[in-house]
Amino acid sequence: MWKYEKRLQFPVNIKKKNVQMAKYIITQNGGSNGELAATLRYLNQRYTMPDEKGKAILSDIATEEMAHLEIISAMVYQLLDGATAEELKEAGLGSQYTEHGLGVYPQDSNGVPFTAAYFAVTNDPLADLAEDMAAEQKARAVYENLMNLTDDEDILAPLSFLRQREVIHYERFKALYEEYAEKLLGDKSYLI
Amino acid sequence: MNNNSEEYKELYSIVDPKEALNRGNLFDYFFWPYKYVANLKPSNEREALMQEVQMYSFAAHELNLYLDIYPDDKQALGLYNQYKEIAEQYMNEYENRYGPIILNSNENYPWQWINSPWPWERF
Repeated sequence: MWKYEKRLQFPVNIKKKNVQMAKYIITQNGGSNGELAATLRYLNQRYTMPDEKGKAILSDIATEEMAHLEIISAMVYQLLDGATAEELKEAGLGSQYTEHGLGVYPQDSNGVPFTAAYFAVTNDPLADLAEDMAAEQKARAVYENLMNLTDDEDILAPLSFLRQREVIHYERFKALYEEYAEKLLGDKSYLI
Repeated sequence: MNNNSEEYKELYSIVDPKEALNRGNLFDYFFWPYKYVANLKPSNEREALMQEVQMYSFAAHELNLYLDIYPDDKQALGLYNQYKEIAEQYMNEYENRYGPIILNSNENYPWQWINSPWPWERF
């Protein structure tokens, strides 16, 4: 089960409305490399991990990704807060307003809705962890792209925090991947 | 733990909880900055206290992930316990002043869990 902590993992205080950045950042909520895909990927892969370390790290990182989903959604909410239909229309976001108003909907920056097809569950620990390592790198790259689209420090601070989390999660998955590779392949572990 | 091992290099590179939260990474050994690093400055007492909660909870969480992979590391466990205890102290202080972060067995009347601000709202 899960217990809600009524706080963010990292503070979000965006003073300046910015509908265009909201449109870009939403991809880390519902895009293919976003936080919703991350949490569901790890939550669903954890059941068949071969040992306790795998079950633990996937459970704990999945849980942290929910907190990241909340940070991203808080950013989108604050970036849109107080925007009018006219402002969204002028920024080319009339169709966004039509479908969702100022609501936070899991989609990518092109408006494509979230789908479970963004991740895999194979029951093979090496395949699953290799996917997880790639997912962390892809999410890091997207955070860098987002950071290149703004100078607002209120936006950069949480993006930089979230990007760095991808770096550390990658290292945790990599350490486990190497351990499993050695266990499963022995002196053939150089193969992977 | 051998002095050249990955975990040794990690554990001996940890930064203080404030720097860790700003960076998003407790371990200097794995720190890979890009373009910008936060320098959080709380603008009021409530925010300041929340940041203490965030700092120590984050440091404890980082050690939690580390311990998932290196469960026999006594030193990391000691640090985890230390940061977790400080996080809980700040959390209690925050809850006494501003209302619940998590629901406990001693909640006050009237039910304050519903009170704003919710986490996505500005303080």
